[in-house]
Amino acid sequence: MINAGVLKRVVGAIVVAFGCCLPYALADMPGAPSMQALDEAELEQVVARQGIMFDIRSRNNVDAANNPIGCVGALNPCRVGLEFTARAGKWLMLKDYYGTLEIESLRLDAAFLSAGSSPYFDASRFLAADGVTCLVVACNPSGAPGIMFTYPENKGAGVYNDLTTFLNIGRVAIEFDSGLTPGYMRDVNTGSVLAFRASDASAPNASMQMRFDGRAIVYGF
Amino acid sequence: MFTEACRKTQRQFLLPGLLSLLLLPATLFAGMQPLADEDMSSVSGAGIAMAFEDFRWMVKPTSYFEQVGAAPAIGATWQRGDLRWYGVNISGAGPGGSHFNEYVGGFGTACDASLLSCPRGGVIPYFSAHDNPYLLRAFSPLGRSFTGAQLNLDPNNPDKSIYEFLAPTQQDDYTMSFWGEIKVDNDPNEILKSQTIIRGNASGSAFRLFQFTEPGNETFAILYHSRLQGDFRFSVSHELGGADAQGTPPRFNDREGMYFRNVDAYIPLGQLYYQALTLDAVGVDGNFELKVPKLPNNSAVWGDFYALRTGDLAGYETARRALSGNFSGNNAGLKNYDVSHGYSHWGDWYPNCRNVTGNLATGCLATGGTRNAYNATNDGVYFSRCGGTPACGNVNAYARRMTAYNVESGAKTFAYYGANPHGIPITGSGAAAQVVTADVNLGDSRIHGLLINHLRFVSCMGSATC
Repeated sequence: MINAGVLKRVVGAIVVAFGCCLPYALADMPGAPSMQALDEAELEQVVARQGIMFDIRSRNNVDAANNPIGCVGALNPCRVGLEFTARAGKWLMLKDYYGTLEIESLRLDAAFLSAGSSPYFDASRFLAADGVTCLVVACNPSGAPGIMFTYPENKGAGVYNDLTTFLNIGRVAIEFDSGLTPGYMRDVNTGSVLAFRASDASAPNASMQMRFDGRAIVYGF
Repeated sequence: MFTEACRKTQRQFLLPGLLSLLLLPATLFAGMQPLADEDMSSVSGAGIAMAFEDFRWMVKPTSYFEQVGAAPAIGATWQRGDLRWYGVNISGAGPGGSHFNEYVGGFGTACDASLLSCPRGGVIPYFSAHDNPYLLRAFSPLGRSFTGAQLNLDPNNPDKSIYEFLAPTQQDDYTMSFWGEIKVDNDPNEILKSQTIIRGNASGSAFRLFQFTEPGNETFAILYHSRLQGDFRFSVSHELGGADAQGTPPRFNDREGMYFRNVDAYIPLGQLYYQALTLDAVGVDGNFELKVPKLPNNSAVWGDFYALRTGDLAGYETARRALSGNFSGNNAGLKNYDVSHGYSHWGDWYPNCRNVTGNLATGCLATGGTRNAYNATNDGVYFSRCGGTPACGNVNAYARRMTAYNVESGAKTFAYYGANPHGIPITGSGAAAQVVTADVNLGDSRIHGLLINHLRFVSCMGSATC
C-alpha cells in the first residue's frame, strides 16, 4: 500500500531538528542526566538513507525505579502550573506530579502516499477556506510524500513494549497570586479536586505498557 | 505538486508539531501568551494530515488510567470511589480478536471482534485513509462573535483564527473497549469489575481551540462536536477463579449486559465563536468549573444558533419540521440548525415525522427501520442474561404495566401484554403474568433538537457548598 522511498531533504531536516530541539526540551527535567551536544564529526556519519530509529527515555521527578524524588509535603517542587488568558492570577496547579515516558524503537522513514484513491476519498478535506480552491492538485493528495512512523512489526501476541509511561498527578487545585507571590509558588489549597494516575497493576508505580501496530503517515499541505 | 505555501506550512508547522507530540511536558511555570490574529493570518487552511493504516493501539490489560478518590467531606453521605480503566484499545471490528484474560497466554482467549461478545480485534485497515485523514490545522472559518458580529468575511484578512483537530468524514468501523474497576471506600475486597465495548466510529467529530469572544472574558475556549455511530455494550458478568483480585483482567461473559444497537448521536458543545467550554476558578478554596456560558442575549447570535442551513434535509426531522412549520415551511432563514442542535438515535426505527399541524411533513420518511421484537438482539436497547455452561436463568420480565396511579387513594391501574398484537408469549395470568425470555428489548428511542444553552461542571472540595 505504501511506496517507500527516500526523501533526503525531509530526512535531513529531521536530523537537524532533533539536534537542536530535543536537548532543549529535556534539559529542565529534574533527575535526567545533562544532554551532550553532537558535534559535526558525529553527524557526518549519519546517512539516513534507510530512515531513522530512535528511543526516548525521559524521567520527570522520579528515579530509575519510578520512585518519586522529593514529591512529598506542601509546596514540593513536583508541580505544573497553567494560567489561561483572562484568568490572570488563577493557576490551575497539578501537584505531586511525576512520571516517565519511554519510546522504544520508533522508526521514521520517508514514504509516498498510495497512488490510488481509497474507498473513503473526500476532496472537500483539501479545500481552502474559500471552499473552492484546492490546496493540492485536484484536491487529491494520493502519491504525495510524507513521513512514515512505525514501530517494529511482527511483535508477538501479548507483547506491549512500544511505549511505556507512568504518570502521577496527586492533587489538582486552583492557587491564586498573593502580593508578589505568584500562585504557582503557593500551596494554600492543600486539598484536591481530582487525582490521576497512569500505571500498571503488576507493582506500585509500575509503568503502563502499550503497543502500536500499523503505520502512521504524516504529511502537510 | 505542492505550492510554496504548502511547503512553508510544512516547514513552519509539521516538524515542530511532530516534535512537540513526542515530548513529555517538563515541570513548567510560565504564563501563557495568546497568539495574535496577525500571527495566524497567513494561514490558508492548510495543515498537518495524519493517515493511520492497518492501525491498532492496545494498552496491556493490566495497565490502567485511574481517577483516584478521596475521603468525602465530613457530613457527606457518599463514599470514596476509585475508578480504573484497564486495557484501553482501539482495534479492528472484523473477524478475529481476543478477550482481556492474558494470564491464559498470548492475547487471551480468542474471539470474533465482529460481534459484541469480543472486546479486542485485529488491525483497522483504514482508521484514517491517506485521502481522508485526521487533520490538525489553523483555520479561519466563518462565524459570529459573542456580540453578534460576523467574523472572517474576508479570507485574506481574517478576524479570528482557530486551531482544530478534525476526524475523517468517513473511516472504517473499529472497536474501542476497556475493562474497569470501581473500588468502594478504598477497600480491595469491594470491587465491581465491568467491561465496556463500543463498536463503530467517530467520523465527522471536531475539536477546536480558539479565544472566546465574550467582552471581558476573552479566555481559552474549547469546542467539541461529538459524532458517534455504532453499537455499545456494558457488562459485568465474568468468569471467576482468581479473576476477582484487583488488577487481574477477567474474561467477561459473551452475552450478558446492557446493549444499545444502531446508535447515531451528535452532541455539540460550543459554537464558533460565541459559545465554548471555558475554565475558571470557583470561590477561594481551590475549586474550579468547566462551563459553557449562557448563550448571549443577542438576536444576531440567535439567528445563527436556532437556524437551519439551506438545503439540509438530513436528520432531526421531528423538531426541525415542527420548527419549519412555524416558519410556513420556509427553511431559507434557518442557517445553522444542524450544527447547533444535537440528536441521539438508539435503534433504527423512525416514526413518521409530522409538522405542527399534525400532518405528514413533505420530505419526511414515511417509515424507517423495523419495530423490534420483544426479544430482539439486533437493534435498539436491550438487556441479555449471561450465557455459557451452565447459562444463567431467563429473565422474568413483568408482563403487566401500570397505566395509571391515583395519588390520593394509592390505586393502580394495570394493562396486560396478553392478547397483544406482537406475539409476545405470556406465562401465567392475572397478577402473575410474566414474559420469560433470555433477552428483553425495550425498543428504540430518538432524541431530537438537543440544544445546549448552558452547561456547568463544578468541583466540590473542602468547605465549598455543592
